[in-house]
Amino acid sequence: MALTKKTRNYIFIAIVAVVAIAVAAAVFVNLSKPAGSGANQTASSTDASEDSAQAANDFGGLETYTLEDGTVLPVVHAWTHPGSDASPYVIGDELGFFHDAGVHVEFTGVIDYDQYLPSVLDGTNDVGDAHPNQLATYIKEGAPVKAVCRMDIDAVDPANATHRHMRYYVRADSPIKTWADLADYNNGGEIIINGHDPSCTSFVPNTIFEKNGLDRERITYIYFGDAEALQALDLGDIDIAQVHPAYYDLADKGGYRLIGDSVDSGVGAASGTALYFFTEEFIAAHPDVVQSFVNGITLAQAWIDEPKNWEEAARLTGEATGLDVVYTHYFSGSTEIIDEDIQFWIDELERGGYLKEDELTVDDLVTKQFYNPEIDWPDLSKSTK
Amino acid sequence: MSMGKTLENLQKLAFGAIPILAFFALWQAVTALGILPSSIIPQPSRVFTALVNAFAQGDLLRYAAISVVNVLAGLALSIFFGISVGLLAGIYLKRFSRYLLPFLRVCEKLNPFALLPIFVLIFGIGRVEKIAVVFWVSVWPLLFSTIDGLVNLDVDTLRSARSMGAKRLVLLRKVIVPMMTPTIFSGIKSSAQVAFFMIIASEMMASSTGLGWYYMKVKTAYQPPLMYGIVLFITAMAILVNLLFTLIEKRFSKWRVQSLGTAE
Repeated sequence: MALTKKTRNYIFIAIVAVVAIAVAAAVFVNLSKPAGSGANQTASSTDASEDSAQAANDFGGLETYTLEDGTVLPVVHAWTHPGSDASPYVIGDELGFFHDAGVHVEFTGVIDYDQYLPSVLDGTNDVGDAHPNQLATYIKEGAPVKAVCRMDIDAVDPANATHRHMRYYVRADSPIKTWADLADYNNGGEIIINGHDPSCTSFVPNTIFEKNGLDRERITYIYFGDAEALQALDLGDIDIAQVHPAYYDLADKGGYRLIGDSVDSGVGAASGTALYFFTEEFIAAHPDVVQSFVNGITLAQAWIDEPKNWEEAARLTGEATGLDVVYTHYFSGSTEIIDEDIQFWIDELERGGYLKEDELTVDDLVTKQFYNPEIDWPDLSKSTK
Repeated sequence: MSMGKTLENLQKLAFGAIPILAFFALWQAVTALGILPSSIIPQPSRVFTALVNAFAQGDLLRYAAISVVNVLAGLALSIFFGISVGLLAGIYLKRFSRYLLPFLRVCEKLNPFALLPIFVLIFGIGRVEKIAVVFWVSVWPLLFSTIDGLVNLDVDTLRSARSMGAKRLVLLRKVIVPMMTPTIFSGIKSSAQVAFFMIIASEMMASSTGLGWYYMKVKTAYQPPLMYGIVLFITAMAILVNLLFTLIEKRFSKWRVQSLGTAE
């Protein structure tokens, strides 16, 4: 049966009307959703009693968690970290650093890189972490987020060299033994490294090249994960593999030749710096909770950095992530944010054309209100944890 | 084409464009009003500006050209291989293909994303690997549509042609292939679509060029306007590819009618 023109028009108008109503309904639902309500998916593990409702009010409407001794703590939501960078969250949670600091961290599950910022902006997660370049690009696009303290830093002290941010490996039969050998490698032509621009995997090697008098333009970055990079090195698809700590042991056992690490960039702790960030709204509404998080996670990080705890930190991280973790990352044991560590990443973004000159400053990225001089590389040697 | 027909087509186009324009208008409204965070979902006006800038700088076309060349190369190989092997299997090697078909069906069902590392392993990183990926995903629809086309041939027409003394090659050229044209083109269109999506996916891994790699680069630099712009661009390209093959199909249909001497 053929439809008349009039009927077709009615159908068409009806479809447009349904779409418009659906969009309006979605917008209405979004507007009426309270800030932070995205975290409800994990509410089952937090308090649901009337008492907790009272306690929640004490914490500015945040969800709460009650300890066995009856202490009620505010809950901060964080995504689950599947890699070796999970250590501060795992140790902070497992060894009680968060609870001691007055906060409970609830893990909301593993999410994809694309979802980091949206999950913090929509309240599914309260805290996120990122290298300063990533954070800068978020803020450049207008995201109202600010970093509150440092996560990873590079391990400058040679005593901690096994925990540096990244290592650089070549095949055992490669003519490359040091960075200097790259000058004549491939007749001064292309050098292929796994990585992607703009990220730590491009900023750090670029800087290492410059420090060693090599032309950074010779590098071609091929988009690969760390594990695949080692396979690609085997196959001769890349010249240098750069990997993070979770893969150091695999690379060592694989017989690859280590030619250097991220500290060779000469920018100190900056080559490994990552930051924890919250929304500006959350920071303004719950400064005490953020301070508790900053204190708890920094103490956990200081504990991880203690050489006597390396093995245990790796074991706990491995258990939590299912990875065979031998080396953890190295983290900041201080709540202080160092401007130079952030500026390096801003400079590299400017250099790559991703930021205009002086488009963003360190102050646009971070707030230093959570610096706690009492937690500044504390001596945890007498810690019972 | 008469004036009336042209007007009718324009009207159809205008009606078809209304929902699309309404969608972009709503998108613009909810982002401009701050209902959706512009740091995650940018205004379409910013998306189009970013797209135009990427065009002007030449990046978008340069990387798109690389992807398109890889798709065309892989697709050409799969058209040649899929149709010729399909015809061979369906006409001359019926018994052999009967045993082989289950295995080929399994191959078709293998998740191509999971196979990407294997392609890198076998072909190394570069153009050959990308073309091989395109070939792998696009050959199956062609092969099976060719075989299905043969199975569903009109037996009466074949018998008539044979009774009139048509030899195998003539039968193939004048009867079988023309009769199978719609099925084959259906396979080509499916192959082209899947090829396009897979080249983007494969360029997101083990790559340093192409549209997929460009998207990853923009994503790493967190440039949402261009991220959305590239997604729209890829969608537009997929629609264009489909239109292109529909046009080619129409031309072949004319030849088909001429070859068969009658319209079905």
